[in-house]
Amino acid sequence: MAGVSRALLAAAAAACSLAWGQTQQDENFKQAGVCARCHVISVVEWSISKHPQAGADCVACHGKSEGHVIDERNNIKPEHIPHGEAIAGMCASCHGDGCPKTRNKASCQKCHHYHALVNPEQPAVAKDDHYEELAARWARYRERMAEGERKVQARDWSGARAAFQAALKEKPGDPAAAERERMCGRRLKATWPGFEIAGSEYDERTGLPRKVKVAGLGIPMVLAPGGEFEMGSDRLAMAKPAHTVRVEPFYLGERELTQAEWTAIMGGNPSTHQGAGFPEAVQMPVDSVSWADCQEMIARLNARVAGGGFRLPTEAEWEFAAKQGKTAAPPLTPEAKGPAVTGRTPANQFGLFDLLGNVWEWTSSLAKPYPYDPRDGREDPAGKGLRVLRGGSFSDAAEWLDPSARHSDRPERRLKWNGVRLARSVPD
Amino acid sequence: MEPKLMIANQNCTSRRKFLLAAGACLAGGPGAAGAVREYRRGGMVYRSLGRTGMDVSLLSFGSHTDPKDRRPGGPNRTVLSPEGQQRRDLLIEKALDLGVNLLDVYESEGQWEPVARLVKEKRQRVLISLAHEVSPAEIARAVKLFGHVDLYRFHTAEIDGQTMETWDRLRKAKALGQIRAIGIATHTESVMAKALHELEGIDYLFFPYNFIHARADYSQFLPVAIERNIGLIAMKPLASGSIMRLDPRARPGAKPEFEELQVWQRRNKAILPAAVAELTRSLNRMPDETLCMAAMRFVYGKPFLTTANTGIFEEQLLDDNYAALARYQETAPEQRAALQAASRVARLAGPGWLPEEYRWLEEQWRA
Repeated sequence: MAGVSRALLAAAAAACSLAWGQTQQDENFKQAGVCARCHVISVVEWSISKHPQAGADCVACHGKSEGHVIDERNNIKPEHIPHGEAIAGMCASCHGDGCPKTRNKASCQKCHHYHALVNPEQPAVAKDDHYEELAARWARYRERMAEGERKVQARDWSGARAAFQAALKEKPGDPAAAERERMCGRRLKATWPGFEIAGSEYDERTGLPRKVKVAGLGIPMVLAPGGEFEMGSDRLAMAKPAHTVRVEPFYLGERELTQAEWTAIMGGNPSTHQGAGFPEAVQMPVDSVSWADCQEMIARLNARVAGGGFRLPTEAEWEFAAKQGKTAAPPLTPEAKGPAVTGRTPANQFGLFDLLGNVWEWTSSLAKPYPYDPRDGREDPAGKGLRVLRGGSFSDAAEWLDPSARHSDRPERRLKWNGVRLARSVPD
Repeated sequence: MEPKLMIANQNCTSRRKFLLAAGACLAGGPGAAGAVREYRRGGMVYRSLGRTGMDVSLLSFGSHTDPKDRRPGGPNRTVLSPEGQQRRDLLIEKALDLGVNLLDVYESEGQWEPVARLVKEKRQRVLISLAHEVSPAEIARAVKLFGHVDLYRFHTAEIDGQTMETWDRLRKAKALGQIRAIGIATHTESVMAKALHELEGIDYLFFPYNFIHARADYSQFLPVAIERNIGLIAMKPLASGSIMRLDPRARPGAKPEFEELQVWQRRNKAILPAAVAELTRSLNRMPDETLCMAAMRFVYGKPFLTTANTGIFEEQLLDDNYAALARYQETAPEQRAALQAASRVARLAGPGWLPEEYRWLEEQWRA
């Protein structure tokens, strides 16, 4: 009888344990959020590890990966997917002392699967003090971040900045906390070297003024807040393959540089479309400029404006800006008529005019095959080769008025349909 | 011994070295990288056009038409008469049957639409070469007619700002997939050399080349072209048909008929008859060969050329050009003698042996 009772008790305990495990797993699935829709196996692995209890969720290791979440075709990959030895590097960001059981600091994947599935037949017995401490620190981190966000809502930029700095102390190097801290710092800044702030709009995420003017010259520029986007297009042979690229926030000329603005910087106007027959030439984009001419113009501009840092946009930046909302192009015109006055067609979502059509715009990039990688030398100003032009012009076939279309030419070439648009990195 | 007529410029040594190297390349020997690949199918020989991936028949069909088939009209003031068009269509059909796969089509003669209709069913095995205004609208019209354009070029006398703009338009059309290969035609050697340096992505060059007008800067231009795998297409392989008129033998309709030559002959009886007699003797030593065939063989034998693009407006001419493809790599001594003699006759005749509109050949390309 006693044996039967013991057996019944054991069965009841197992059932309770199973029920508790099931409930906990459901909770974990909820915590995994949208990731659990596709990555079921990974979430199961993760949920039976200690990671959920420590608050190390999908975002903690893989980043927000907003592009990946909305991309059904899976062309855009998560922000972080370490492979090989890099996996141990990621584990070390929390397990700095190595494996809680073996103290081994390398090759975690020899014993653990990607999402830390510990062999259920041989549960770890070592107590992980570091884990307890880490869980507490992460809880404090979440509290600080929430406090910071509350202060952001209240427009208390100093208080919010302090909260985000405190969060960074709990989780050093955390990109989310660092970004929010930088945003608050920017909101506290009254002036920007080389810029006059135009308007009162600020970007919520970056804390940067949306519209500015180049000090002393009045050239309007617009903030492109940066992010991930799909660069290239599988429809166009010259822009294959489509791939994910991330760009940092930058400022881009609201319009192509006009003949008047070029003259103000350079003291002369090389444009073909000027003089008799072009009464509004000063407001038309400058044309017949080479990439080398643009470098000369930029050097003069940087010498003249405090802080400098003006440059041509990279082709990734240009395309990122051109893919924001529908961009209207000025109508194609007979060649003799030349480009249109800038800024007369509707602007895109960022407030940029004439990205498509009017004149081709030089970029800083060397013409190299995709995928775009700024570390492969294509952004070297001294690099030899063709430089990329973007946007199409008044004289081109309609197929060129496509944000993904790429053309290129020699840096010394001056053609009557080639112009320029200014860019500048954020002058922090 | 190298025949004199093959001396293309004064730098004989480098030229000989160059030809030997080019021959080795053609044979797939050492240094075959960048060589013009060649193979034979039936009676036709095919060579690769530079790096374009296209194989072109060694004889290709030029567009010029017989003046007697023309009547007023069209954008260039003359178009083919209905009978002329019919004759021309039959010639194209025959050329395609013989293995010719490149048609050079002139819209200035109103030929785009008739040729597009003619080749519609066999478009996949015919390469269309166009030389016309380079504008997005005209290229789009050509694409609409032909599906795509295999070769598109424009003629230029110098490399200047205007040329650069035109070239930019061609490059864009190629990038959009409308054109497979882009190039220029030029009558000037210095422009050829400059084009290689200045025109980004150039795929091929059309330039004059025949046994009389074979001057080209072998030491500078051709090695660069071969190294960069630029396709080279010979135009005027028969000096716009004038070479045929040098043939003194009595093939019906092919006797020397150029008036100024005859005038010169009358004035210089002491010299010209001897030269003509030598040419006649040379040709008589090869009864199955015409001067036209020998002249075409000279061009076919150059390993750096992809194709000889010649105007074809009569069946006999097509037959001769095709027949010359047999054994084109073997140049018999009597053939060389005939070409030398014909070259002497042309030299003695002065520029008058060419029609006025082609005298630039004599001024710029005399070997």
